Amino acid sequence: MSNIISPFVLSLIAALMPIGDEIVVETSAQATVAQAVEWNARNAEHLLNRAAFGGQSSDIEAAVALGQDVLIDRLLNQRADVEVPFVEPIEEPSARALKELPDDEQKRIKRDVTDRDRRQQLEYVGWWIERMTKGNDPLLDRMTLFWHGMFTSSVEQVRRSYPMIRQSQFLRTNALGSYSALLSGIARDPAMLLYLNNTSNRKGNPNENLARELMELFSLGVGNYTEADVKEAARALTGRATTRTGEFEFRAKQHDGGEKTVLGVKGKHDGDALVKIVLEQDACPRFVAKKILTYFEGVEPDTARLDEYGRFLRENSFEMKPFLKKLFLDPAFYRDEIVGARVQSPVDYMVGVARRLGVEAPPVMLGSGAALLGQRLLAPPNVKGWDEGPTWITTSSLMQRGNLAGLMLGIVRMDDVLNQADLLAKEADAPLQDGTMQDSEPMMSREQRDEMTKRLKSGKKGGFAYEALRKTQDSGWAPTLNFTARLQRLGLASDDAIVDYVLDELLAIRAPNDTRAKLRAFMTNERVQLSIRDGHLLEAGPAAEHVLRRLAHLVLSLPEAQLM
Amino acid sequence: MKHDTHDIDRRSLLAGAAAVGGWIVLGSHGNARVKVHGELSKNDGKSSSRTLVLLQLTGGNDALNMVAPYADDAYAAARPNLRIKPNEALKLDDFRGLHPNLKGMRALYGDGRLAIVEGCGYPNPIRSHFQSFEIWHTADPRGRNSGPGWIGKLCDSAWPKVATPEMVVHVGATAPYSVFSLTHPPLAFQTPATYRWAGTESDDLVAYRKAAEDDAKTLEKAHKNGQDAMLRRLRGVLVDANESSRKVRLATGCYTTTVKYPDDDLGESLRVTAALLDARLGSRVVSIEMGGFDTHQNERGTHDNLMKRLDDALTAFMTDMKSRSIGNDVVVVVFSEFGRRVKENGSGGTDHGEAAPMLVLGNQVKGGLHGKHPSLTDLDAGDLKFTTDFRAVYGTLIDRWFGADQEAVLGARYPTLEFLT
Repeated sequence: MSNIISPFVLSLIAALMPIGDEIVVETSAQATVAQAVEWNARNAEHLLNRAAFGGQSSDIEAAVALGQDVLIDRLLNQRADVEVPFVEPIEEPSARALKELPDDEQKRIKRDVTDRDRRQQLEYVGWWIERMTKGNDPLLDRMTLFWHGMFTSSVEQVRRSYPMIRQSQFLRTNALGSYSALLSGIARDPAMLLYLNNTSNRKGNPNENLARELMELFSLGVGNYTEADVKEAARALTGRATTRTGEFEFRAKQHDGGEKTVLGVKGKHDGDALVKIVLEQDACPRFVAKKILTYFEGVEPDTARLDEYGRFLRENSFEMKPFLKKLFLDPAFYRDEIVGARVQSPVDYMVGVARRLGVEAPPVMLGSGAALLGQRLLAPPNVKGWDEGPTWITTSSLMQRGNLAGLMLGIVRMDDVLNQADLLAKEADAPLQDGTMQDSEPMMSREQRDEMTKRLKSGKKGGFAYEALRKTQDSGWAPTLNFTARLQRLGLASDDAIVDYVLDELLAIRAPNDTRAKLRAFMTNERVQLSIRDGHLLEAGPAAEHVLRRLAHLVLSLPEAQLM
Repeated sequence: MKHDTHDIDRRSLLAGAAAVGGWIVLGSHGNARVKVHGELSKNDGKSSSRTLVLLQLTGGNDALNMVAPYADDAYAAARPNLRIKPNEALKLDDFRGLHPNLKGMRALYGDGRLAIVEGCGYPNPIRSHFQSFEIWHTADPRGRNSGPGWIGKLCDSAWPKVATPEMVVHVGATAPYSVFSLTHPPLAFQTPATYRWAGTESDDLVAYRKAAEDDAKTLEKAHKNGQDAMLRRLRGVLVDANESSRKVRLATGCYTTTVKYPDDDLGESLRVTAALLDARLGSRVVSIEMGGFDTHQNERGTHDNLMKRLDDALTAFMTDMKSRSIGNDVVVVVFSEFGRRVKENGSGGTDHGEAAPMLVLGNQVKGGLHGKHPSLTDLDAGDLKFTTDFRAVYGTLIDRWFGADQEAVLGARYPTLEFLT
């Protein structure tokens, strides 16, 4: 026997050994050896969570059966034949034309334009969310979302939906193409030019905004350019502007055709030349590789891995497909530090819950829910995009996620979220200890409650999303969901089997044993209250279904349901 | 990783805190019947109930138009279109004046309740919003690589054994890194009224609470990264959420004041802040944010409007604080990631700059001008050079306001400023 441990044995060791801080089996160095990861449910679910938008256990079984190579090939190369929604510029009549009209009419026209624009925006977001939920081209949608968070623009500043939607479609068209095409296109994208004020970047009066972010956030990162480079790059970008309706326009007269020195390269650079210079920097492929790896893995890559992936990106001319294929085949992508340890983004959560529940939730419900949780599509908070990871979870957003899952399950209503009954009730659980008389009046007066509700509806602080959710609910939507029938079909009846099923089906990770035990206790308690013997819950009809949905609500509200 | 041990400490401390906790009266104005379970104040002198409100102006506030050197020829020359003219400025002396929309701030200044610390910045300034904020948030040039935010470091140093979840609160969707900490994580909520979990039956709530508790046996071997570590962290968040949601909703829902706060996000955030502080839930730091300051083009109208909103909301808050007992325990600090370029750009705006004044407001503040106004002619690539390290402001707050040790928090000692007596 030779003393070389075969890759197969190594992977067995990896599976059997409890991995402590000092035992790291799969290092970057070993990842360069063509060593395949064992293709099992854990790894298949991990790939579906990160590259797609998760799935039910049947999807995971199918992914295992398909095999890793075929699955990756499908994700990369199998396009869905989808019609993109029609979009048009929605513009006010010219100021002169408006002036001719009576005041009332002017106001009406302006309101109408705002409404139509808002509707176009919501429809597009709904369409995109629906693509993700249906999941027949998930990697394309995943990468479009990634680029949206990197090449960020927001409808809040751009003001009109048309250029924003066109930008989104541009990102989608190139999402799995080459990064160079994306960078080159985004540097002349109308929404981006509007968002970063390049429409007023003129010869003799440069505006640095686009030039700076192009190097800082889109391609190189801080430390890889100087302030002088920013100033010179701004000159190269002069003249790139938009027409009134939001199409690209090059204003030759405003372009500074003089000589500039950007990143050490001298010449009469224009915007395209600038992009070319940036792409040639050593820092560029490393920056992009780091962004992508961090997004998919949830932690920043170490230097060795970054070197390897940066080099690979350069060698493959910034093409995304080979890069992603390498990543999805890399055993390091499946290491313990990473699997199940990423906080789901709001879009992941809303879309993932809908997919795992198998509920056809209206896209506007999912989109508004994600917005409420901090991720409004087409409106990232700033040019850096969304801070992914643990920052998604605050004390309040964690509770809101549960409430939104309850909404999708049809057992929580918007009014329940706003209802302050627990405050209005007498302080049963908080007796006064200083001997003062307990007041029998309600805690909050009707006026105070009304005022609070009014503030919520006023459109401030997410009020808009609440309104959209309320509308969906008031339209009479209810989920088509029958846990009882599903369990009967599977022949699962005992408390333990039911809890295991719900946990495995609804979580993107494997639940720890203590969670399992606590939920089994909950389940048993509920069954006993209904005076039913273990194994017979499903015979209780609607009462059983109600308990099952409450169990599902609980599961989806837990910290476990926020990870993937 | 050391945070893990802290995390365990925190969890066990949480249990302990409940045992020593007392009942305190919520609301000083007509809401005395409302009782909330809160932290029993430690008797550690005058600083025991003091609080700090951190107001972040996101995007790079054009502070040269907030506190304008209206009499400086260099200012007029650099800003032919944008400048605050001498006849507009609310004069502080014969050199500087406040933006015309800062009427409330001018009155506070006259009252001695507004301190202006001029020329705040740091060495080797960075003009990236995000990197510069990291430095402000961590008080360290390494940014988040240096560890938790400076408020997190303050909590670890000054109140290591107190685990009140309300100790640090961010009113808004996403908390800034300044309040990031694994040992004293902030509460964060945007709208207090919806800060609750809507379980449909009481059993659900019981199970929801229980599920947040760690089974020591299961997760004690949590790796520094990975699923178990993340799970433990999120469970900590859930414990805090369960403990605080009702208290926060009570405090804010029952708060009454005769002061009219503006009907916008900042006004609402400051009203919530007043309610939280008045309820004395044990909050030491409340963080809020106002955005929209990245004025690269058509700045004047936009910035005028921002100044008006800032003034209206802060004036309401300070008026409210004047009549409340809690008022003497509150200091507000206003900061931004950088100032803007001295010279206006070609789009009627200004690009990213360097030094800028910080505002400190409070009944206990020694009002007036502090530090030194930066020169408008001796510039660093067109930007103001800083004259006061912003960490001196933090250090003064840490030492004088909280009675803690700035060196333990900032890793160094900075000159003490005189805005707190």
